Amino acid sequence: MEGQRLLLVEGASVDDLGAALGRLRKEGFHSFMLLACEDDRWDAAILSAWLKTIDVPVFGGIFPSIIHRATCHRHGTLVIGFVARVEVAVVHRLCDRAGVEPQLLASAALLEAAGSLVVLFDGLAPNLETFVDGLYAIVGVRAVVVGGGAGHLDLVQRPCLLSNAGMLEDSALLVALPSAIDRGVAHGWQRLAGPFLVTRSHGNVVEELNYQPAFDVYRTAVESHCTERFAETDFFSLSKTFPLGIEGVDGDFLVRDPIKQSGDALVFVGELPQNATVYLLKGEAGALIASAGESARAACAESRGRGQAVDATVAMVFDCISRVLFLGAAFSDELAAIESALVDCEDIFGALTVGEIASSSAGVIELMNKSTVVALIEAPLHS
Amino acid sequence: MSNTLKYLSIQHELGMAIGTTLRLQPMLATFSRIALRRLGLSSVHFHFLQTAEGEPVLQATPNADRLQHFLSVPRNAAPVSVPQACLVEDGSVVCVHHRCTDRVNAPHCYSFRLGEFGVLTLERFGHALDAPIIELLKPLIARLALGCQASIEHENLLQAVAARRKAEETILFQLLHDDLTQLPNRRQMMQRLDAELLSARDQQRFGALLFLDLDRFKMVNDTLGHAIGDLLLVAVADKLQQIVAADGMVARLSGDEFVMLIGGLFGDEGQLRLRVDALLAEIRAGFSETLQAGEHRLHVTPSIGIAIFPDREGSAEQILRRADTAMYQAKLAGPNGSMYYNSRLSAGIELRRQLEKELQLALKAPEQFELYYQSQHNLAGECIGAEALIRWHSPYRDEPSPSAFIPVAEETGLMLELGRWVIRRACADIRRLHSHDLPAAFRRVSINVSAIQFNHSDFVESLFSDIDEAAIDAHWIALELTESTLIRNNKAASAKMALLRARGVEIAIDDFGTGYSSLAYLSRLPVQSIKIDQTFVHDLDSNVGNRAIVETIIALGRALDIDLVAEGVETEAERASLEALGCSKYQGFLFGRPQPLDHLIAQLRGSPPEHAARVGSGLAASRADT
Repeated sequence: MEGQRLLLVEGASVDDLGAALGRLRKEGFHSFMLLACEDDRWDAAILSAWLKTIDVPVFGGIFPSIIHRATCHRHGTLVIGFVARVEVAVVHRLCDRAGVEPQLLASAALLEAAGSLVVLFDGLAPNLETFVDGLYAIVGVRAVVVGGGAGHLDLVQRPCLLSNAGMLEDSALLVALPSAIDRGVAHGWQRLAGPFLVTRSHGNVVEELNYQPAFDVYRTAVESHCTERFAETDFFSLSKTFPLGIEGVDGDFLVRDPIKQSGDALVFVGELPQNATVYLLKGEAGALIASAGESARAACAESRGRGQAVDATVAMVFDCISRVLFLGAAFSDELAAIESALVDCEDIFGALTVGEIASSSAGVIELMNKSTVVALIEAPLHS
Repeated sequence: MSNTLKYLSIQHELGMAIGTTLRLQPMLATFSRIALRRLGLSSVHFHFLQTAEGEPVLQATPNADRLQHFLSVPRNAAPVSVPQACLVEDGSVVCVHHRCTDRVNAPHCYSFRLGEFGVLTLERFGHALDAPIIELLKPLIARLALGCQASIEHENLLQAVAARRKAEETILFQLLHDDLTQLPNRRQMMQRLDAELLSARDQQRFGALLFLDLDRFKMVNDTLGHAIGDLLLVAVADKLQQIVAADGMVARLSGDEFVMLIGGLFGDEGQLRLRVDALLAEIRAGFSETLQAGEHRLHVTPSIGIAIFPDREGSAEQILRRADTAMYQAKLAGPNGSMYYNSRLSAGIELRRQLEKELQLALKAPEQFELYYQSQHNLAGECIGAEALIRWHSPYRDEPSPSAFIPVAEETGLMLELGRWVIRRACADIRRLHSHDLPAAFRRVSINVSAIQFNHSDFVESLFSDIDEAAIDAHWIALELTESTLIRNNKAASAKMALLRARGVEIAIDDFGTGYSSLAYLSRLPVQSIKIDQTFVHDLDSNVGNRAIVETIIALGRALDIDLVAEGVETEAERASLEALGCSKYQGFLFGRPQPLDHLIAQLRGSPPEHAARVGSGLAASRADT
């Protein structure tokens, strides 16, 4: 990146952030992305009040960790300056399914004009599929969309998005970037067992698989492939290794992360539609790490395919937090794999996210779990 | 096995999206979004037969004969064309796989017929859909077509219901509003007045109804046409609404009649009257300015009657009638006036209104009218003529007096029609008189002509026409005109009188002495006789004042060589006094009461009237009967 467009602010006070913003503003940057860490334990009231005082566009989120190049940080805030004055649309109250599309339509002029959109959302909000479906219905294939879910690792919903209106929860920020984006998406999870038919579900709650209680079917399948038992361990510590995958028409999988058990039902991040065919997936460190590198290479290939020079880009990475939980110390290898694929990029930044979204190769915008999204932002951010 | 399950699951999931709602567009949007995700599509497009208004229909019509784009998801997707094969009208599901080669990456397009009314196109980048997927889609599309058909039928039904509702709303609006001004109409105003009246009684509060009638509005219609008249009424409606604002309701009753209803907001009548007086001042100020009616700026004023309510047990209809009565009185007093109703106004007005209605009916059945004749005599007692006097054998009341209904006829314009009947009847009667061998002294029949009748532009022409039609000698006719008739339009009257005289018609001044007392006009007009009014004849033998007046009139007549006839002669003493003063022609009860034509003919052919027997009979003749 040129100059000081990206700053890693180590201090966790609004004064530190204010100083960084002041510095970037003096250098001619007019919009700011803030990627903050949950372990900095931001006081929502103070941070909100400060955000509301900022008279230029600001957007961002609080994430379990942030990424700068090949390093994952649990403290500090990335402040990314944009010379252009970007426009930000906000969708509030995602919990109100019927209210999502009208809000998107209200911002249709901005969204339709955008060639690329970065979307930050409350990763624990409901109706995220409704949101991305509604977004695609407006922008179609004309805009490339990437983004990630903000939130906290304890999976308790609280304000996690940063905006000029303060901290928000149950919302999404849609940022129209002036630069084009090339993206690569991968997850590396592999088929282990199945297929299973989702015979009863409501949104992100699956009650039955193959006409049996969902948890029973899932438990039986998982426990037949490992030595641990759900009865003896925390649900998520075991389920994080065995997500389900919705099989697409071409045999690809859309990963769905089971985050908790609710009686006989399973609760996922993202919806599992009734009648969908799902498989039990398994993860192997090598495959996951390789897929992360593959997502970065796919983004580069797309960029080169359009005749762009990758070295004139910065990379934005949205990598699922559950991959860290699965890979443990090996996660650094995943970031290294990404960095090595992006050696030509000027800089790399991003966050560990609670859910990821990206435009698929077919065009539709997908809400994903346990996946890696690499977005190359063409040309300097200030151009 | 796994692929089979996958295909089945896709089929089931898409199948579940059909019929989620009866509304076509939401149903197709839901189906499209699921299809996009499950089939890895980039866009979904629907084309339907549509009306000019963009409403899908199931069958082609002259106005909806080709498929048109209806919906795409995403909405900004590049348009796709419908392949020719999908236009075959056999209703079966046809799938055509084609490539949009003019597009980047040449997406695969799959077009499916939807019954005989639409086409679904799925668009996909990358590689083509597997053949089994296409096959599993076909039954789904057939089902989707049925779903669309149900939705379209449902929406057509909804539109029909909506159209009916709108029509009902329109009818209801028309029922309660005036078509021209869009103001509430009489019906709505009466409903509101009913409610206000009830509320005012319950809460012991006072309200007012203002009845407004535009002054001389008819002249606008007559001179500028009804289109301008209508525009003026709209401007008046706007002005009244501006004035009353939220304080009450303005309604148009009919024609140029409006009402303002001020609800029962006031605890005592005094407060209400203050408010009404202020409103009247606002109305006067508002109508002191001209109003725009098309290209004309017109000045118009309202006459206003006000009825306060609640007043005793009066109904809404009665309150409206009271306000109307007060308006009527206000208008009689002159334009741009206003008057509060009080009970004294009602009786006289009501009688006049009733007479007006009955007169209108009578003129459609003129056999209710008859002419009586009161003879006129000379010094020798010979009958020298007779005055025609109208009688109305009304089926509604007992022989109403001409003094009661003639003024009503004059005020309402009915006099024209009535007067014309009188002349025709009189001409016909003269024709009958011609056919009898009458005394040589009998030479005139006098006919009373009202001012409105005489001033009408075709009066002379129509009189001559009636004379000709009856084939009578015009010299037999004497027209009796009042002084005011001649004074009002002296120049025109003079011209008409000259024409009448040229034909031989005699002109007499009726009720002489009661009018302007400016006698200068007499010398300039071709007047042949003067009738001395009965008020001066009465008690002439003992009343010095009357005697002086009659002396003056007789002197004037002599000086101008104008004949004199005294009317209302009831006693021999009066007749003798008149003779002593030089008046030699008489009419009155002393000589005979008004009588049917047959009786007059019998009298003329028999002996002279026994006038002595009638003297002092005590019967008072009406003014018109003397």
